[in-house]
Amino acid sequence: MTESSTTGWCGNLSTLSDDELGLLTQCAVTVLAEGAADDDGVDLDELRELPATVLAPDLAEALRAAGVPAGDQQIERLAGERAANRTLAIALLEQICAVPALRAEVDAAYTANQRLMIADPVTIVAIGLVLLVMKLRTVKVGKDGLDVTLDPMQDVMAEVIKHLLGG
Amino acid sequence: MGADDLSIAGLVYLVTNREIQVAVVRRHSCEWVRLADVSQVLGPIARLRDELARDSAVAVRRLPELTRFAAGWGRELIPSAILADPPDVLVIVPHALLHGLPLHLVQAANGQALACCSGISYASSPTLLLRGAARNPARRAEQPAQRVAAGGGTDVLGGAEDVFRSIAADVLAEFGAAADDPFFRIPVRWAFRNPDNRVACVISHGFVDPTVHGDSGILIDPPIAVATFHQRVGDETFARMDIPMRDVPAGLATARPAEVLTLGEIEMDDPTSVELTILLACSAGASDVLQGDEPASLAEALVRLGSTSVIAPMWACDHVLARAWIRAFLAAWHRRGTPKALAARAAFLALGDGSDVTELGPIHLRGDWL
Repeated sequence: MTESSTTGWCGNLSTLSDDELGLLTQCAVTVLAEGAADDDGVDLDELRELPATVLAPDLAEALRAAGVPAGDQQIERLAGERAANRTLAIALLEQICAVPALRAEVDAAYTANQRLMIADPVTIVAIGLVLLVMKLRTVKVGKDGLDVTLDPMQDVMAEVIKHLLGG
Repeated sequence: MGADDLSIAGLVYLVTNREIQVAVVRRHSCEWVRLADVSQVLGPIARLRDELARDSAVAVRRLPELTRFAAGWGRELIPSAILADPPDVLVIVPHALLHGLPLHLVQAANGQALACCSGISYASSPTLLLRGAARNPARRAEQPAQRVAAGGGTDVLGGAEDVFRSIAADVLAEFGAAADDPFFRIPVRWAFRNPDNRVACVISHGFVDPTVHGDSGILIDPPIAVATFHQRVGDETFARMDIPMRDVPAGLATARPAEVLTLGEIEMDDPTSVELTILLACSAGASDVLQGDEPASLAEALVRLGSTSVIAPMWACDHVLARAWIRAFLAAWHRRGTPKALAARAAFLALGDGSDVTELGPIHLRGDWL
């Protein structure tokens, strides 16, 4: 991970290492969760700390509500696959890159995280990010509190997951 | 102003099952003050620790629990007389659940963090503080004409190799020394073992092993040579090769071959005579508390090994902030001859005026303040 790579990550998501994608995913989760309205019922600590297997039923339910026939176990299996996590993370980060305000916030968090002298392993846990996107309608971003609507992202993610499930 | 002219106070805490008390120790007096009920602070302490362990929050400095601590409930843990009129030097000796709390960031009555008002040092016990003070070259009449320094920096994870090495090079250049490169087991140990060294500098990644604390450590370069220790027991000499006690933790993707130097190995080493260790490894000052009220951090292990004082972060550290802090510290301590605690105050003031504690970062001074 180099600092010089941060400004260009949107342009080469597929070439990023698992560490870099994992860190970007973590940053995106933080930005979206912090931008959620208090009454959205998003528990950021739960999203960070609960294993993917525990989050899977929630995501499966949100996907079924969006018209994707997803079983709890299917989502649980998907959450455990490295390749699927990469695909989901890249698809979501591409969506984030398309929204300048969101991109700027995630980029700022990513750059700041890269400055930390830490040695914690980072794994890609895209399911928490997908769950956030599927649950939230809008998030407030930046100092001005700009409203960003996540509906288009929900449609894209539903399609990506449908494809991953072989639908 | 000489050291004798400074106003100095010590806060020696006692946490019982019910309440938190502190002995306020001054040059010629000692007074016990009752501070807070334990039950009132258990929840907030847990929330603060959780927040400071969350690297993503630390990175972007969104730390509402830390702000609440500094401006709110944390003020109940410092006697009001100290908050109203902070001394020049304040030595904090925490106890039990207070170990690891950034009490130096609590706001004084003037709205500034205490760290910007007083020179603050932490000690895990008065005994250890006095033991360190007794060895401190600054307290002896004969002082070396020049401080000898050794150490280095390495980032085996690969993202900030140049940054780590250049911070080490900057620190060591202050003392006319060059950073060891590669920075592997022998030079790391030599920085502490060489009796001529007065300053040891280690800039690397640290990690905490949550299950076996002695297996926590720092990540260093792989060896280009292996040392052998010879120990004489009775009439026999035993030889022991200096090889690592553990592998790099599973899941840590190093950019190149690397080794671990563990807390356990540091604790077993010969005593050091350095007067200051600059240990900029993430969370090197963070710790569990072992039996006997001993914080089990790398920083504490080095104080117990003999380092008079140690500078280390209490939680994840940003290298931009670390560089700025250490520059200001060295300018005050080494160039101007300011006592370490007051140099730490100058370093905090270089980061901010103390009204926003999230600007002041995680670095703290441990051990003797002079």
